[in-house]
Amino acid sequence: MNTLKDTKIGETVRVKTLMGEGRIKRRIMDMGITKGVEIYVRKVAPLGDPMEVTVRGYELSLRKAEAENIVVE
Amino acid sequence: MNIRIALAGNPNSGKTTLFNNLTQSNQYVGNWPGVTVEKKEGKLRKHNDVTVVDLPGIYSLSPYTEEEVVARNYLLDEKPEVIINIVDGTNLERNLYLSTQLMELGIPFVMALNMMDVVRKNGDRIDTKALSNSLGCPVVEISALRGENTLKVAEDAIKEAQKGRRTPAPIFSSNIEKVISYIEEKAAFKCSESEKRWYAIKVFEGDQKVLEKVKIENYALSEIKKEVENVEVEMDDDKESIITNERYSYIERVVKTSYKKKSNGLTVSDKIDTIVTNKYLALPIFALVMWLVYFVSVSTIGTIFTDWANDGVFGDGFYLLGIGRSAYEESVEEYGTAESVVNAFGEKLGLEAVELDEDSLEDILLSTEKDGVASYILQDEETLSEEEIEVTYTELVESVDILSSYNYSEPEPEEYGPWVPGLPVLIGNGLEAIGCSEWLMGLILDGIVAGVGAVLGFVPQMFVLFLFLAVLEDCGYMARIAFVMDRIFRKFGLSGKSFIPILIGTGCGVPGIMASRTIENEKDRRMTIITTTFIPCGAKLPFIAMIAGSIFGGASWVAPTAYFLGMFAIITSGIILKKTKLFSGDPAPFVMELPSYHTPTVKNVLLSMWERGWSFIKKAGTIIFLSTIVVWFTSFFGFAADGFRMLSEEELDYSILGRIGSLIAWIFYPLGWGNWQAAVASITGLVAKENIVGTLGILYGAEGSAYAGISAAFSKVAGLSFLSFNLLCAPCFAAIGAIKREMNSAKWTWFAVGYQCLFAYLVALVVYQFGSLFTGNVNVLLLFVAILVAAYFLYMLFKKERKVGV
Amino acid sequence: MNLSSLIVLLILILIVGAVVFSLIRKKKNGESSCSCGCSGCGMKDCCHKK
Repeated sequence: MNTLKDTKIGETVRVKTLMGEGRIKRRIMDMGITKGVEIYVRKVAPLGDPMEVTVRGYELSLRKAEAENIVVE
Repeated sequence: MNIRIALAGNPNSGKTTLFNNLTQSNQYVGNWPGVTVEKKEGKLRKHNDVTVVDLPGIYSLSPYTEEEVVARNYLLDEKPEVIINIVDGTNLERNLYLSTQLMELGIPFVMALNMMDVVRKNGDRIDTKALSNSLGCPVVEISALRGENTLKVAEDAIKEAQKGRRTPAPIFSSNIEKVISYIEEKAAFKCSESEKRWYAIKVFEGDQKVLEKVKIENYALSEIKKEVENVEVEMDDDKESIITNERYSYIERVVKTSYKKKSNGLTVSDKIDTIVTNKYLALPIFALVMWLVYFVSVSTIGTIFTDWANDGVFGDGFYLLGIGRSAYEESVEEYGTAESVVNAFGEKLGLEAVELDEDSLEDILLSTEKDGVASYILQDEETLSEEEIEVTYTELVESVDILSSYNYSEPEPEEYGPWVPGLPVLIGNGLEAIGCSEWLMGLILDGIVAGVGAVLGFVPQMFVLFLFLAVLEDCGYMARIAFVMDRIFRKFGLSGKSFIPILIGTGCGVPGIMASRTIENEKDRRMTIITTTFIPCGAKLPFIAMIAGSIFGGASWVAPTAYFLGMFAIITSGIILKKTKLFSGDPAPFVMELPSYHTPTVKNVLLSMWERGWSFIKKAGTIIFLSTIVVWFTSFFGFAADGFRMLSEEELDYSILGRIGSLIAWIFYPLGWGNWQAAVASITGLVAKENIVGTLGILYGAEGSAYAGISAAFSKVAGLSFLSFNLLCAPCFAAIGAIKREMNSAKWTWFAVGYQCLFAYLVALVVYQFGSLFTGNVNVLLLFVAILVAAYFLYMLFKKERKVGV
Repeated sequence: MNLSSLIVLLILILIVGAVVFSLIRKKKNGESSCSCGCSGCGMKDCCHKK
């Protein structure tokens, strides 16, 4: 099972499902990361965490701990 | 007809700019009832019967954050006549997500499509007509920044409002719409037809806040639950996610027909970002930016203006544009040297004081032998170092000539250029001219003008700092700072978002503390609130400058040290507190939009700088003004041997303030500054930190220069300890108030203030006692205590972290 | 105390009164006495977004 956390910089992936629940999951989804959306991994912060992705045409930053909950194809 | 327009939109969509444009100066700022979220209202320009309400910037109407709850409660309970939804055209999909939720409310709705100029510049196309058709609402292209079409969107909104409420259109797929109609039917909501759909969707989502509000009967609720569970199984997802997914699928369909992206080439913002958050360059760039901000605002430009304000406007006076200053200064030096030489020879001849006139100088010349030498002591104004200078008879002759060329009187500044006398001089002359009594002159000059002036003198420095902060905020770099710094801050039990409060805290602790709201996790937020005020705020700058100038001879290392001390306090507090039961736990989520970079607009930056700077001035005019009067009265009146009366400058020990200070001064004895003046100054610092400067100015300035008085009263080590304590101890009352609001608990507020004071006390203790080791003033018992404190501190710092859940 | 001192004192008392009055009115209106409101802050959206 691949998650967003393991996706390499420069790759574009499609979201399969989101794990977890409650407010954090809702927040991630509110920001546009939903089933089937394409995510482009732009870069990782200089110190290795968090990461910056492009989703629905804008830049979003999230920690690897949160990216781990996003299962991708 | 009175119409209320609610302005809703995502953060960074230009909502505030649009609000400012629509209402101009006609605004009223307050708080939403019961919460700390700021509420802004204003009258629409050219329409006196139309009110514009600025809702908080939000991404969604979920029940999870204060801002979102405030926004939806306002929309549902207050029922504004119309919503203007501002949508960032460069970020259409995510912005429309909020729109789908706003449209469900059944309130007349107009969409303002902002930043269309940028969209066109990028080569993208938005078909506004198609968008309007598929959404079923008016869409107006605007540019909030340039004020294009802003009034038109408001007028369209008024037209919509007059048409009245309507039932929102279905947007979900048919199986979900079926359940929603089922809920509408079963739940029997007691609300108008147009609102039913919104409540039904929220019931579907299982929104706790709405369920409590609508009170559906138990049997109906269980049947609804069954239906929803069926859908959940069918779609293999939870109910909240189903709705979110459906919204985004709907948006994708809408966008497909109306939005054309040109290509995936890098925009300017992307190019900047690859450099600024580059793996290797990000940290050096960050350090450079921070250094630049403080170098410029604290030590170069800021200082030039602050010196002008302190020595010129609130001192003796200044030359307009500096014309004639150097000539005047040269003359003053020439005259002063000549005077010193003449005095030196006079002293050698046994004269008490030399009268500077033709006859007595002639006498000195005649009685001095041609090969005679004398010497005088030259003191450096800044470092106060002394040097003995030998002078000969030839120099005496020259000096006498010089003095006679000045007509035996000191050079007057007015003769060298356009001289503007300082305020104290002007006010003093004015009061003297009308024959004002002495004590009143003392109150006005030594109390009010000196105290308020000491604070206002730092206004230029604050303006420069605020200008930089405004630029950093406006260009989008602040969010990148959080992105870059997150990893480090998490190590200290804070989040990258904690950096924003701390950075804003360098301007003022109050908005800094308020900015901690971005942190969702309660423990992290509390920690940030407690530690934010450790960083020196703008109001502490004058105090730092004063200590640096008076005790350390203007040494340039003092100000950076103060910031490092603040960072040190934040980091160690974070690590230590994280190990206590109160703060252990999982880190907070960090899902944050990184807004595009853009050139800061001059108007926004200047407005932001001016608002903050002006409120600082207002504070000096009100709170500090009153405090200086109180401090002056309590320090110049008191119970002397012959009863209560006004005191002379030698008797300040007997003053009311002196008595109070003496009562508590012992507390600070272990810190090396157990005198009543320092104790009193620390207390007045609680009203506003700038007060420390004003108070010290009054208390030590009574017998001449405040700087000289302070440097005589404090050793260098004691000065450092005094600085440390006042930088780290409880912040001003305004900030404590902000802590109270953000903590929303008296217990936590007391904990925060108590922790800060204790931490400050212990740091100052360790600084003074260890520092005394080098100056040889060792108190064995106190040194032992300091070693114990330091040892415990190190133990807590390196102790293993408590396991979560144990 | 002479007349001019009295006038100066009176003016001073008037100013103090005005300041105190404005502070009280602000307090009643629920405006914070804090000097640095968030209104002009470019980061405002960041503080108030969630």
